[in-house]
Amino acid sequence: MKQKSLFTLLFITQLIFANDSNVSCEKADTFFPYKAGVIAEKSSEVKAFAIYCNLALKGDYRSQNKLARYYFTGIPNELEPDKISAYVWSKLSISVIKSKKKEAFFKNMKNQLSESEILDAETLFKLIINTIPSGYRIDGQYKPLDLSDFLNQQQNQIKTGTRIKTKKSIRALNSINLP
Amino acid sequence: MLELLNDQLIKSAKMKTCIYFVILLVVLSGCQNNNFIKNNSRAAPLDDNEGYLGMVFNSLDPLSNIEIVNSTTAKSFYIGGANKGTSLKLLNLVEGEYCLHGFDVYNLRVDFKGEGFCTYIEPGELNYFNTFIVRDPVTVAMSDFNGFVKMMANQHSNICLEYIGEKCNQ
Repeated sequence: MKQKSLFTLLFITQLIFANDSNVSCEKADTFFPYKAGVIAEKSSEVKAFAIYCNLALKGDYRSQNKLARYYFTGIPNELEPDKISAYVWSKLSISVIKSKKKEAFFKNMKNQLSESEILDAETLFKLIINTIPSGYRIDGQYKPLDLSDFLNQQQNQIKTGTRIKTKKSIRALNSINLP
Repeated sequence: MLELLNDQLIKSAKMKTCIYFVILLVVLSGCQNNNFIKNNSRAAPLDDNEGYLGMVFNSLDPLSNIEIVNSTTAKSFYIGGANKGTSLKLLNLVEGEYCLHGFDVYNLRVDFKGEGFCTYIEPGELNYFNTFIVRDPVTVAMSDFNGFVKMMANQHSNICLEYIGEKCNQ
């Protein structure tokens, strides 16, 4: 149910943000990290936009800022500039992680909007901030960790006096990433 | 005559010692990691393609030889150690993807599976990587930006104000 409402909202945001352009934020099946977006920028801004868009919807604040810049300037023949969308993504990108550079960009953009545009953008921002997270750095996909392996390893420990010997030394540890 | 020869021999021996000492200093300065920023030091301004990387370690044991690897060039950066408790590490690095590859705990080397924890460094920004909770047998990366800003404000107030802004004064 929660997932359904999220997809409905994503659909609404896509409708709002697509704005008669050839570029839209489509949900991709394949995962691309932020680095892929930076590399794609050099060859195809449309591909970079799609990668950033997917990461931005998952809460990557750097991608949200990149998206804001794309909406602000537009992509020639592909994406019309949309200052309201740029305002929303930019404000979202600095809502958790503070950055003077990103805040300066937001302020500069805000100065170019009329009062009614700011009001519209703020209404949209209130809707977005409750549905799209921010403040993450999405640079990889982490598999859930099965701690039973470690439990087995610990059970295999042989205690001899003050020294603890393991049948297999733990040299390469697993890592987990929590948002 | 013999005294003069003896004086010259002593002088040349002293000269040799001085030269060895200078060579040793040059070698040692080459080993020093120039990317690491010391507490409250006036850091040199960043180049256009450089950014700061900030990370926090929370460990029950002292860590040493913490290794960061640039995943494009495979260049390793040994950023020293971290004391028991919470420690902040700050480096200036060229834009790119970097991975926390591993560290030493006492006489045990810990290398993470795969590339480890990776992040992309944006140029002209203070990139907060994560807070790494180092426990046996796993290391967990958690985002605690407020905690990071507090540590930055205490230890690198100039950089904090310049790149994060007013939050550093709160």
